[in-house]
Amino acid sequence: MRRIIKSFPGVVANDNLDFQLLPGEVHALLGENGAGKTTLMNILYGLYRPDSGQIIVKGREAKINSPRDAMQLGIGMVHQHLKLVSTHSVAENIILGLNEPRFFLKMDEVHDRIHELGERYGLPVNPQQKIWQLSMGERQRVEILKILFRESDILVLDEPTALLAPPEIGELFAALRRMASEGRGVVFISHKLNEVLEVSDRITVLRRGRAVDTRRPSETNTAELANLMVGRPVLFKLEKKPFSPGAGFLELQNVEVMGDKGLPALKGISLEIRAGEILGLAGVAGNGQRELAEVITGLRRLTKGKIYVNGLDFTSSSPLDFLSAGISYVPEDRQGVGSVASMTVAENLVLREYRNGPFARNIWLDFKAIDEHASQLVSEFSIMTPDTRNPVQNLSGGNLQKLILARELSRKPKLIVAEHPTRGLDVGATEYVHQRLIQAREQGSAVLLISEDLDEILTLGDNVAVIYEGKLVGLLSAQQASIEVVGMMMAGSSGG
Amino acid sequence: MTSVLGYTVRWERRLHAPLGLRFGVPVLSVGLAFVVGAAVLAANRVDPLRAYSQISMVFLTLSGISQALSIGAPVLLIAVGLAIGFRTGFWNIGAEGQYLMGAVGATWIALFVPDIPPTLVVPLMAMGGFVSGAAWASGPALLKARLGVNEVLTTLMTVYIALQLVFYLTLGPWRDPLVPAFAGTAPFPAYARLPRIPGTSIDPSITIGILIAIVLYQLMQRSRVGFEIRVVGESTSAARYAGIRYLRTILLGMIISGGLAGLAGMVVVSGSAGYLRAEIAVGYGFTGIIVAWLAGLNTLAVIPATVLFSGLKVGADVLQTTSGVPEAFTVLFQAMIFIFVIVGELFRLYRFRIIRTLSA
Amino acid sequence: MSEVVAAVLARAMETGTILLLAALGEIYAERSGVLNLGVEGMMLLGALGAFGAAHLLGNAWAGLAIAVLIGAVVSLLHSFMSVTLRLNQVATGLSIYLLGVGLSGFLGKPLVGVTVPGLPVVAFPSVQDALSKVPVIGLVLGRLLGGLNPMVYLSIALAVIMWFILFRTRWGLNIRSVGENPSMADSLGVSVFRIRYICVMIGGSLAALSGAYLILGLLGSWTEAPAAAPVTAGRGWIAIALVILAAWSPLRAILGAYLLGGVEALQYTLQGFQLGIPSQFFTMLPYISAIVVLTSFSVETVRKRIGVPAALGVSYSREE
Repeated sequence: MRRIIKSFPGVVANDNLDFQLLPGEVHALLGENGAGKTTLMNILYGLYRPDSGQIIVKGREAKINSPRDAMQLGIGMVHQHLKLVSTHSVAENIILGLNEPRFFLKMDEVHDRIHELGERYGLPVNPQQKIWQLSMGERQRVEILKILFRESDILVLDEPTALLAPPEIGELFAALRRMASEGRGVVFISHKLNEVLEVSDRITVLRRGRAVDTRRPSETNTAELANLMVGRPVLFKLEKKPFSPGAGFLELQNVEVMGDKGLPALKGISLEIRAGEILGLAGVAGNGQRELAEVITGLRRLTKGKIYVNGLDFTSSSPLDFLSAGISYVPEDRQGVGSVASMTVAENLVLREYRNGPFARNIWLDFKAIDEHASQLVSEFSIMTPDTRNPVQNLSGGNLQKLILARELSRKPKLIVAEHPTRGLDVGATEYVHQRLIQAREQGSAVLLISEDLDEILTLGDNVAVIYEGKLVGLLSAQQASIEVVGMMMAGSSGG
Repeated sequence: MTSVLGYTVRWERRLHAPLGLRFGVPVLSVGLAFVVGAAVLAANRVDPLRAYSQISMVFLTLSGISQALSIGAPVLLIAVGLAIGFRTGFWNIGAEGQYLMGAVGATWIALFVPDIPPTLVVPLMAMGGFVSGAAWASGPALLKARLGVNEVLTTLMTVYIALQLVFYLTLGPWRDPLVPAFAGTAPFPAYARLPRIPGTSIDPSITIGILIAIVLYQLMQRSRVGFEIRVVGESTSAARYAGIRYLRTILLGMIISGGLAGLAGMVVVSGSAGYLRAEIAVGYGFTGIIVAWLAGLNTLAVIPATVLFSGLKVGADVLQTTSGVPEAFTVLFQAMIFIFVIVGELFRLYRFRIIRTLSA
Repeated sequence: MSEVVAAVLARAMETGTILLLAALGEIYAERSGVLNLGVEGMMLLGALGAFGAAHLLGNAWAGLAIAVLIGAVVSLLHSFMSVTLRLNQVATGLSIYLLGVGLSGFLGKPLVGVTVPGLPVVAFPSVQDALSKVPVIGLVLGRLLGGLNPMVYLSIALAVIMWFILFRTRWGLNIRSVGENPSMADSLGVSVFRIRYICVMIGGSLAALSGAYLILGLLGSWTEAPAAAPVTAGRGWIAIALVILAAWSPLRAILGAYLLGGVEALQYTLQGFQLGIPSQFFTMLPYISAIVVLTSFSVETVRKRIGVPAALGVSYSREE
């Protein structure tokens, strides 16, 4: 790919980018969120069209206007958000979009081939199962099999490890190496330094839409890669006062709830969070983290168990009761839950406090007070917005996250439930969020930190709880917790 | 993103809708409807220029304006209510049924509740109309809020049910004993009729409607309840997150929406009609949807939109008698305005650019 | 007694066919992810076109063909608004509905009082003879195989074919995938736009055909109706409810259609019995049963089992 330029309204996502993939190599694309990795690969896959630049596939210039063109050139992509139809079977998902069979579906032949491919690459799945019955790791296998089924020789995997527990990551890497050894080219997109060093033959680092450098793993190390990725030296240490917890603030006793699909999502969770404690909740996505957060914020009804806040029974309390008890919540879904797109920055900043003084006087709202409050938070959290009357749908993802954090942290909360608080933020903003969470802890707030990023949990957390299939499989102090131990637990082993 | 002859239309979301577009889009929509309407008229061998000049006379003569105002009141009330209801995300398209039930409630008080002091009859009728309309709307509202039943379908079904109820009442127990050949109630006594504004043939309901529109506008923009309604309409999950009582808010929106439609029914039976007949269902409920939409769900903007629509309706009635243009022309015209308005919405939200597609 | 049963069943099938045709089309539209609330409007335009064409050309079949054509053209407008321009599908559907009411009322005026050729009835005399030897059941079945409108049989065949395509062929897989997860289908080279356009067009054509069958096969004359209650009398909306009752399956739609058609047919039979209940309450029955259907199928446990297309009503654009 030569001199690729792609801009979106307001940003240049790819700025004169060059990228070269050789057959038989695993080539990592490393960069922060928003560095342009996914954009570049979406261009290769025909989802986006570049403003200018050239793509050369197997020695010939290629015009890729749609994914169909890409597939005909032997390019396949596993997207970060898996693209599967959950009500269809594995086999139906795999054959979708193929030209063969022309009309009638012959499923038996398809099933046989899926078995065969699965065995060859160590990616076993049952082709007749429906997707919703599979774990995240199995779903990802389906995505990879989809590409292998098409006999593609260029494979692009966008952040494939985000959904996996460490042992599954090992299996994935083995499959990738096997594909490369057969002469296929594999692009591995990631922002995790260790993984990139472990699996790839070459690493290209992107920063702000430009390719900064390409290295071999043997020639480099994490510190240098981090430096290239961020553009300045990165501190890996955070200043944190010693752990001295206060009284218990929130207690769950044997809590059970149903998930959105009507299946049990939490199965007997008991947990206590104390003032001045950061409790990290580790787990592979989809094991009950969101449901747990919703229980603690009153948004999901219990089918069994009890919740106590400050010693009071909150089992059947409304979301408003939890809110008023000083529980802040940074939800995973920032657009759908955490903010109201068409309303202004100022209105969103009082979304959870509008009913209280000084913002409300009897039935009326005081917009002067609301605007002043907004101006103060916008500057304190450096939210980039032309003014406080700007609808939040115009904010970038990172800015929207800052707005939500500003709102939730400025309430002087007793407990902060932070769900993936730094996802999608650049390194500077991530550091800032980490500092604010530690600051909140030092001011005596309890923090429940839910994250897929084990490093984040281990550096910030005083204690680490591990969740697997709706059950807590371990509770460790930060000293006891290592990536290996927690990783094993995340995969369902209850550890030592 | 389909490209034609190497060119692609690209849309970008606007950060701010320019003020000009906020007014321009509705005005242009109406203008385009006039252009297409002219073609339709011409195809039916009606001279569009003559037709439009007759329609414009409605807005220029006193009798035309007073006629427009008298049919304007129900449309205004319905559209104001719908604007609030739509804001809560509740797609009430059954205002016609709530309007009919409001008329039924008002009629019951006017004719069948004995011993009300005459001065209290009209206020009680207004209350009866409001309550009946709101109650009729609360069924679909509860079904939606509690069980997630699609309200577009249920509210529409209730229009047909309400219509059959009116047929039943006016052919059965409420039929005027003096004119048994007719499906309708007896004429209301004078104390059950809205008084006329002295010197005109119109009643004061339009002014009450305008007052309600202004008050609701203030409430939506500046009050806590208005804030809650706006959040609920945008996202129910965000509303729950904000600690807003979803059920209560959506029911409130529905009560305002159905209640004002019911009040519109009362205004018609107590004002211009003076009896209950199924013929009062002339489609105000559907006109109200379009008016609310044309006004961008802003209750203040509903006022001029209503004036326009009721003027058009009166004008179309004139055309019917002078040129034989079918009554349905109004509905057709309104549908065209509606289509242009929803398409025009895009130009308010997006900027369109035609770009040359990469030919590398 | 079996005569009465046979008559009610025959009537249930004939009225149910109106709903079935419209629902079959709506199933395809919704399976591809487009909620078409304009069914009633498309039915009205189909009825108008069919009636006008049958009158002018003197042939009912020509009327049906014109109706299908009109449905396809109006669908183009609907898909342009909902798929290409990605407008709110409640609003677009409503605009098609109002357009149908307005246009059919406006253009239909000269057709009031006009006569048209009807559709011939189809009978299978030899089968009927054979069946007549079986007591009770034979009589009922015999009635259903003789003297019914051809559209009844046609619509059953159509339902079977449409079921087969939807669940057993590549086209069907493409359609279902687009309605469940358009971005995935797109990333695999399935054209979301083309499939949605085609499905909406199938939906519109069948809705229009349903309107044509209603006017030519059952009503036989065009009447001037108030805007609040056009000649299709809300059947397009009931058909949308039927789609939910049928859980988006063309085969189950057959049963559901005859069930709802039966409710409508029952009112004529019950009115004949002089029960002392005013006829208006019978006329309400189809609408009430539609609400009951919608309500019972919205209960969460049921809804999870029937599987609404996940992307229903959600517009798709690649770069957002």
